[in-house]
Amino acid sequence: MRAVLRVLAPLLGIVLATVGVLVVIEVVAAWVLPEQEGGLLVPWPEWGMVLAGLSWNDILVRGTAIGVGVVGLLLVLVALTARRADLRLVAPSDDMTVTTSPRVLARLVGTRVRASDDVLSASVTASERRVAVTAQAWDDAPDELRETLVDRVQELLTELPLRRTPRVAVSVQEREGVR
Amino acid sequence: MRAPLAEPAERGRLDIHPGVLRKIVERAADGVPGTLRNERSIAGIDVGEYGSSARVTVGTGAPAPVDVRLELTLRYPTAVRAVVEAVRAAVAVELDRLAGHRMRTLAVTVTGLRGPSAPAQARLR
Amino acid sequence: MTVDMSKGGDRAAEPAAPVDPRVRRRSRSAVARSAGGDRWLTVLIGLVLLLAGVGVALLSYGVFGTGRASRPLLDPIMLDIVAAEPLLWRSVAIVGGVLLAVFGLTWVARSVRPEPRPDVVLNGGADTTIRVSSAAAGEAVASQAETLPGVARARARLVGSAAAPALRVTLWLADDADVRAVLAQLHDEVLATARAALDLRALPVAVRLELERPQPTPRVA
Repeated sequence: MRAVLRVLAPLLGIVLATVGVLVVIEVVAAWVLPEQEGGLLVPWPEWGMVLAGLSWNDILVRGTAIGVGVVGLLLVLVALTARRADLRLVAPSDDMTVTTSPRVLARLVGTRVRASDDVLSASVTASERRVAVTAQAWDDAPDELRETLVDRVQELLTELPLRRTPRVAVSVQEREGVR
Repeated sequence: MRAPLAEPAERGRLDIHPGVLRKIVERAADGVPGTLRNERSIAGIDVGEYGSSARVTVGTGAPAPVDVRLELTLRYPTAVRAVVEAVRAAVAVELDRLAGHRMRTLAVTVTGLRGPSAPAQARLR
Repeated sequence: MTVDMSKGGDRAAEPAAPVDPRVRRRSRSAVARSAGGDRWLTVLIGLVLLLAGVGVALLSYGVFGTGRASRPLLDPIMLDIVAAEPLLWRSVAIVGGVLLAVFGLTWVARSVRPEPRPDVVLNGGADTTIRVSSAAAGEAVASQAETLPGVARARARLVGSAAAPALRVTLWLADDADVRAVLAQLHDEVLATARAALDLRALPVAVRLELERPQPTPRVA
């Protein structure tokens, strides 16, 4: 979303600037060159005729208004959701801010989970509040594997100086077949 | 009857080319402990070393004051201010001693801070 | 008082100097290029469009009275008002257009400008100016950070302004790195050295941690 905002914002600026420049040019041209029929760059007299034939309760006006409203809503939503999904860590001193990405946490958790011999593969989703592990285990894996994995992950989370310790959810699927 | 000659110290004039002043400044700066020589390399091939690089502007007046702009590479970690102060003193002394000029202003830009852990540049000899 | 037996408690605890809240704020804003300006201007434009769209839609559906709804778009009353004072309305239009153009162009310029890389300016006394180039300071910190155990790669750059510089450090850690120890060493060794060398009383830092791609283990033939 931040990438979208970074492109959108200058585009909006260009649109505003263009509208401003066109308004100035057309008004000045209509003033200085009254014999010129039609607009200089923008056919505003034709637009005026079309608009004059419309009334507020026209279907075209309704549709355009709703469209404009929707565009406005989208802009507001894009702008408000353009945030970095950083995980904050505790720093040794107050003049330091330490952050990392959820991806890094997911990789660390995944490495720790896969280090267990009973685990065949694992996929991890991590966020500031929650870490979810889906592990595939060999069929001869012990029943307490899930609890063991939860403990391992929580141990890892306490080793990291995270501001907020995420809740851990581990689910284990057993795989048929011989190891 | 010949006009009496002026005092020996007042006879003649000494104009020193700015290029010479530049060299005086650079040599003085390179002599200060804490400054380092850079290795210049083009495409990974050593082309030689160079120390500080200076630009000298001579003002008006007699004796003409000199404004110096200096680019340095320093050892890291050192106290940058202390080394620059030593450089200032050394350059002022040399400029006065060798060229008789007074240094008016000094503008230093530290373009490199090289520590013992700096990776060695690839060399082709 | 309980003794902290965890890894972080091994080194002697230094009394943390109280940090100016402004410095703390500067370290937080050094994390990444600020999107605040873009964000709020986009919200503003979005709200204007939203309100205009909703307002016209309500008017169109007759919420403000069916009489108003059936009026033409270019209302003769409005046209008469404009025609009565052509000079005034022309001036309003021109001034409005100029303001809009200036605002739009300023916004684009601000938005597109790359983040500044400030140099560190030190006080050299009378007649002497000292400036440490942004690249030199960044490389010095990064080189020292790379010597820390657990750190595979490091990059550092200066952000902020020449009057209020801040450091942004990115560390690529090895898989088995002790994060607490790395951060503590970064603070005690690398940053303390930088502050001492550059004679900066306060140098807020934003550290970003990444993991180094695992090196392929060498195969024995």
